[in-house]
Amino acid sequence: MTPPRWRAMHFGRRSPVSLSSAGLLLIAVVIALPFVFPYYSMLVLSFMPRSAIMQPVLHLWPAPWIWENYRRIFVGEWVLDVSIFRAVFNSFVLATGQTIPMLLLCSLLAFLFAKWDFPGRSILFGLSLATMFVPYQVTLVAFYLLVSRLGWLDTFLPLWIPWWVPGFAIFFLRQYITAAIPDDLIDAGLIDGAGLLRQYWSVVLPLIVPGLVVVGVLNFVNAWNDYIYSNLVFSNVRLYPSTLYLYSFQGSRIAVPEYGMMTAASILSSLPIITLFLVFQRQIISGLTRGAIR
Amino acid sequence: MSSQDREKLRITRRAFLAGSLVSLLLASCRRETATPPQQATPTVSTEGTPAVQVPLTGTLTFWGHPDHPLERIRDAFLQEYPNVTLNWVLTNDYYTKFQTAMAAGGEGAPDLFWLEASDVQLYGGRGLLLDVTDLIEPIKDQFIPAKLAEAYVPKTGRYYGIPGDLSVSGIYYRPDLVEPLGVTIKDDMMYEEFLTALRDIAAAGKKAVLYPAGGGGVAAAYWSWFAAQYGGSGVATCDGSEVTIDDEAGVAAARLLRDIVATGATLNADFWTPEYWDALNSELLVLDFAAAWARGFWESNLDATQLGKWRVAPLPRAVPGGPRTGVWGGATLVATAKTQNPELAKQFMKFAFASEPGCQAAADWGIIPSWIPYLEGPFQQLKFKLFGDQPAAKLWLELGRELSTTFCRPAIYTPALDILGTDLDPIVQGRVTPEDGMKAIGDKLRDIAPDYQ
Repeated sequence: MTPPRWRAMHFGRRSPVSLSSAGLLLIAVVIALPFVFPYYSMLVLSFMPRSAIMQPVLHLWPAPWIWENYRRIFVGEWVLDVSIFRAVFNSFVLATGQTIPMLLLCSLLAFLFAKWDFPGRSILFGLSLATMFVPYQVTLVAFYLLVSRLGWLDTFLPLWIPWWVPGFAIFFLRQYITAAIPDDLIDAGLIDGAGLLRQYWSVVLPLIVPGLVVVGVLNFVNAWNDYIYSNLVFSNVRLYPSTLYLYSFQGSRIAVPEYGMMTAASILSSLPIITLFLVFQRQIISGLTRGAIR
Repeated sequence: MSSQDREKLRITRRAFLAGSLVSLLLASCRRETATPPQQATPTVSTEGTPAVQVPLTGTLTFWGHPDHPLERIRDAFLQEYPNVTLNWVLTNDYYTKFQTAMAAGGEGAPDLFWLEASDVQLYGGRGLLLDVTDLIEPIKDQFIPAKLAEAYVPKTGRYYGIPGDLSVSGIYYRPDLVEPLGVTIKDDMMYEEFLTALRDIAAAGKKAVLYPAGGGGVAAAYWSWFAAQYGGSGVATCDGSEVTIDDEAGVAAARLLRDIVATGATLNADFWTPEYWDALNSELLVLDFAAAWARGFWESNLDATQLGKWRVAPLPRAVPGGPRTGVWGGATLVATAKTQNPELAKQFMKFAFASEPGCQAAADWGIIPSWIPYLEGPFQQLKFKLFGDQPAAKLWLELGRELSTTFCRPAIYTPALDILGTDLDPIVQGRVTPEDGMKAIGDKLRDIAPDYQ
C-alpha cells in the first residue's frame, strides 16, 4: 500500500499539491537547471549566426534567428564537404557493428562463466575482469601499431572486433545470469536434451533481455561517443563518425570555432542517443534495478 | 546441475575447430592498404631545368588542420606535376594521430608533416624523420639563418626538414588611438621607454598587451622572446644537454614580463576569445604583441572598419644592439623516415619552400616563408589589409634577419613551455622573486631533462 506521504505528492483532484511537495519540486527544478541550461544554450546558439554568437553576452533567445547553420550541415557546406547525415550514419554503423556482436559473444561467455564448470574458469574470468583496469592510454600505441599492420586503418574493423568482449559486459551479464536464471532451469533443459548452444539461445537469452538492454545501451552510447580511437583509425572524411565531424567545426585559420554549426550538428548527432534512451527507458531501469530488489 | 550433466556441456573438438576457423577468418580480414614502395622519378634538376622529360609520379600523404597553408601549396604543386597524387588529410586533431604514429615507430605516419621546431629536434634525434641534408646543403645560404637552424639537429649533424614559416613577432598597434595619449611607438626603442608608454596607455583607461589570468601559453611565449632578446639560448642549450632556463637572460626575461604586467595596462582575457576580439573591435585594446602569422587571424576577426588602421612595429630592444623580435610558432616541413616516396617528398618540400610558386602559395595563405630570394623579391610587393599602406613586408624581412641564432628550441622546449605557462605567474604577480622563481622552474625542468636528451 502506498504510504500517505507519498500519495500526497501526486498531482490530482483528490490529492492537491501540498506546500512541502511544491517546495520539493522547486528544489528539484533548481538542481536540474544547471544540467538543462547547457542543452538549452546549445539549442539557442544553433539558430544564431556566428557574428551574434561572438558577442560576449548571455544568449537566452536566438537573435537574429537563422536556419543557415542547419542548412549548411545538411548539405555539407563546410571544410569536410560531408553532410551531417553521413556522419550520423557512420556513427550508427560503428556503434551497431560493435554492440550487436558484443551482446551475443558476451552473453555466451557470461553464461559459460556463470553456469558451467571447466578448468581455468576462474582464471579466465579474472583475466577478463583485469582488462577493465588497464587504462586505454597504455594500450593506445600498441592498438595503433596492430591496426596499422593488419591494414585495418580507414575501416570499421578496429572499432568493432577488439571491442566485442569487454570485461565489464562479461562481468555484468555473468552476475545477471547468476541472479536471474536458477540452476534448476538449466538442469531441466539438459534433461530435455538441450545442448550448450540450445540452452543459451532458447533458455538464457530470453530471460536476460533487460540485462542485455542495459549493457547494449551503455556500449552503444560509449561507441557512439568514441573519439580517440576513431581519430586514430579514420583519415577518410567520408568515414568520419559524428564525434570527428563535430570537432571539424573547431576553428583553424579563422581562429574562432563555428559555434552555430557546431551546436546544430551536436543537437542532430545526439538525437539518436536520446531516442534510444527513450525507447529502452523501461528496460534500462528494470535491468539496472534487478539486482537491487532481489 | 550434476557433474555428469556439466560434462555434457564440455566443448567438443568439432566446436573447438569451428571456433578456430572463425578466428582464422577474422584474422584474414586484413585489408591491403599499404601502397607498394614507389620511387618518384624526379624531372626537375636542382638548377631548375628539366633534366629528363619523364612525368613525375607517386603518392604523398599529409596530415594537417583544415584550411592549412599546405593546401594552397598542394594545388600549386599539382598544377606543375599533375601526375602526382597528393592525399591531404585535413582534420583538427591531426597532432594526436601523428604523435601516436611516431610512438609506434613511424608506422602508419604520413609522408609529410608540418612540425614545430622542438618536435623536429625530438623526432629527428630519434631517427623518425627523413634526412634531407642532400636537399638543404646546396641551398642553405638561401634561408633565414635562425629558421634554418630549426631544421638542423645538432645531435646527428643532419637536416630533417625545410624551414617553413618565418614567424617573427612585433607590436601591432593603432597610431590613431595611442598618439593622442602622447605615446609614440618607435621602430627602435628600449623596453624602458616602452614601459613608460604602457603606463601612459593605462592612465588613459586603455589596454595594451594581452596577459591572461594565470599567464598560460601567452606568458611562456613572451618569456621566450625576451630570453632570446637578452641573448640567452632559451630553455636549454641547442643540443638540449644543459638547462639554461634560469640563467641571467632567463631571469631578466621573467623580470621584464613582471614589469610589463605591473604597468596595469595589460588586458586580462583568454587568448583569441570573443572577449579579446571584442576588446580590439571596441578600441579598448590599442596595442599588442603578435606574430607575423597572426595577421590573417586578425583580418578574419576584426570588423571591416578596423582594417587598414593598424600598424606593425618591431619589439623594443632588451639590450643595446640586440634583436627586436622573437620567434613564436613557425613550423618546419618534414618528411617521415618511413615515407614510401623519399625523393618525391624532397621534391615537394623544395617546391613548397624554396621555389617562387610554392612560397607565393604559402604567402597567399598568410604565412611568411623563410626563403630569402622570395622574401627579397615578390614578397616585397605584398600589401596587407590590416596594415593599410605600411610596407610591412620590408619590416618582416628586416626582423627575420635579426632573429637570434643563439636561441634554440630543443626537444625539451615543449615541456618547458608547459612549466612556464603555470610557474611564471607567481613571479609576474610579485609573489616570488624572478631569481627564486626561475631557479625553481629550472630545477623542475632538470628533473625531466634526461627524457629529452
